[in-house]
Amino acid sequence: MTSHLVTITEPSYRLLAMVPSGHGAGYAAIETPLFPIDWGVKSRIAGPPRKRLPVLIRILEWYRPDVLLVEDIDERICRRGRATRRMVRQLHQAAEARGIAVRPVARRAVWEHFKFDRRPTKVDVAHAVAQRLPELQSRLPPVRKLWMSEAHVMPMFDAFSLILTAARIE
Amino acid sequence: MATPLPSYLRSFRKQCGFSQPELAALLGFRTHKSVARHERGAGVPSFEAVVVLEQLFQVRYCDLFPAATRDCEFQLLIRAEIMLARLDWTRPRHSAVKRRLLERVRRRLDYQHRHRS
Repeated sequence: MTSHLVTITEPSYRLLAMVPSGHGAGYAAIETPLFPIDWGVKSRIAGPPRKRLPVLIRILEWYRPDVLLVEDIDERICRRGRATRRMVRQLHQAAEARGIAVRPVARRAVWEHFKFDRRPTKVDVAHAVAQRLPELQSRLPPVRKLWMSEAHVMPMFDAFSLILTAARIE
Repeated sequence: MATPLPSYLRSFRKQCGFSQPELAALLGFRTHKSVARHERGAGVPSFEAVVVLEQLFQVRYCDLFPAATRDCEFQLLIRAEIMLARLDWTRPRHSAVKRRLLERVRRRLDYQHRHRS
């Protein structure tokens, strides 16, 4: 009678990844082992960093992750712009000020984690992520033509790729 | 270990691919505002909504709304303690049954609390 009332849950850790980009920011949050709790793109926050940062900090404060994952902007192959790099640094500081551990994840580590034969594109990484998380299949962008700009959901897939790499989820 | 979020409704909704208006329609709400409110963990859903959500996502209430569940359990623990202290020992047969039940509740909630923290 009482067994179903015992609500013991396994200890889990919450990981939040944030990937600011030129036209917004993608984020993804999971609880270990692999329970995606939220994901999305904040695409209406283009503008100077002083306007964009509070939006991301609100997400950070809501999820209160154990670890915040960001892209390693000191990596040599990182091609992020100056404003995006500044925003990543500000996020780093904001998380540390709130007692949240921050772990930069290198893009090269993502490529190694997903075991690509060749140097992958962002779309390749997005497809690899969607294979592991079927709920993201519907968000996969169409095949990009030369004249098309990057899909606005791409930072969200980047955020998931950081999480899967950092948590070593195959 | 992370403290649970007030509500995991958003997670389950997104995993199933529902939008807020779609879920509101399934729950019988007129607008999606109630869904948004429950996703923020503000307010407790009605009994009818809870039954629908449990059937829809095949999860227990305590997994959907851990914060509200914890609040209820804490309130129950306090009330059980008060009742235990006030048990009428002039009617020992009735009191013994109640006492056993209340102590079992207290043990179970203590156990859950220790394993969560």
